[in-house]
Amino acid sequence: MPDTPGAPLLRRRLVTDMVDWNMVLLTRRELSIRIKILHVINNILFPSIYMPSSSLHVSLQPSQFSLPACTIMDYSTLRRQITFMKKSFFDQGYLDEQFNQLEELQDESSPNFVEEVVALFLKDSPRLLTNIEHTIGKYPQDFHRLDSLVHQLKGSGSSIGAVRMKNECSVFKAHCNDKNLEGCRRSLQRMKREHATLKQKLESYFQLLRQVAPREHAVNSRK
Amino acid sequence: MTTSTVQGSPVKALIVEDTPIHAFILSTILRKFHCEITVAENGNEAVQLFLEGKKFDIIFCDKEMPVMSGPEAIEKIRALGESHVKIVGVSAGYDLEQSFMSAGADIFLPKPMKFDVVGPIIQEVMNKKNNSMV
Repeated sequence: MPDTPGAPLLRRRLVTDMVDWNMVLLTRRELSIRIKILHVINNILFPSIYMPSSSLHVSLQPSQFSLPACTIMDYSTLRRQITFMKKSFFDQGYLDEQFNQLEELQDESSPNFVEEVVALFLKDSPRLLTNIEHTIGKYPQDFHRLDSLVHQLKGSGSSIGAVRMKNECSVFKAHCNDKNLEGCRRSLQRMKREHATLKQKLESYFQLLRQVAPREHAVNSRK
Repeated sequence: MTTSTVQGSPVKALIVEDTPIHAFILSTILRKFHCEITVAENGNEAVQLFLEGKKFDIIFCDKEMPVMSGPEAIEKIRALGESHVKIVGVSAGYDLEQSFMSAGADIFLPKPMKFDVVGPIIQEVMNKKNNSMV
């Protein structure tokens, strides 16, 4: 199919802009305009790829908008975004060296190991947080049970390198030791916020990783 | 992490751990050393395996578990005459080492586990196993 004049340049600039969406908060109008442009380009260049009109009405969560893996996105740009994102996790204190250790375990025999470990953590940790909240609300207070639950959460968080979660769990345990119920309540709220932030960041990270995965798998297969 | 030095028949490893994420990580590490892996979710399950006649070369055992704790399970396993099996206590608190060692563990590893310490332990077990077969 003949290339529309100017379309590849426009496509590359739009793609580069879309990579930045994970870093920049757009207004609803800006987001809507960019979606419409992408819709027009896709219809011109890739008429077999159907973008339903409902995709024009996306929420203000750019990380939820998935691009076809490496068909449009510049691979090296995507890789740079992934590296930048991971570095920010360490610089901002969300993850520590344990996360690197998990990545070292990942290989061809277990290609999705890190994501699977994180998925286990994100699956189990809400249950623990709910149990902690439920136990805090009980009377008489059961600080031994609370300590046990937080110990589990701390261990799980430590195993993926979630250092902020781990530190807040230590604060909670100290409040348990002091039988300080109000301190436990405040610490729980902080733990829940840290957990929500970590979840959002890691999900965005793995969404980007999945976009380079098919290309990297093809490259590795040719070796 | 190097695995090429591990040779001979596979090491039979028992993981006693109630937290799925820890069991999954340790299983992945041990699989790289070609271990045959069995997972028990608490100390009682681990003891039952030995009562059924199962044999293992190494046990990685958590401390706090439902039904039966790690140290309690280790005591019972040693009481069954299983003196040859290498037992590694694994837990998040450094102050828990003594409870594992008193129960009969050979080594204590704090959590989160440093993956590069597992290789030499498996190699030692492998060497001992191969020497006993000669």
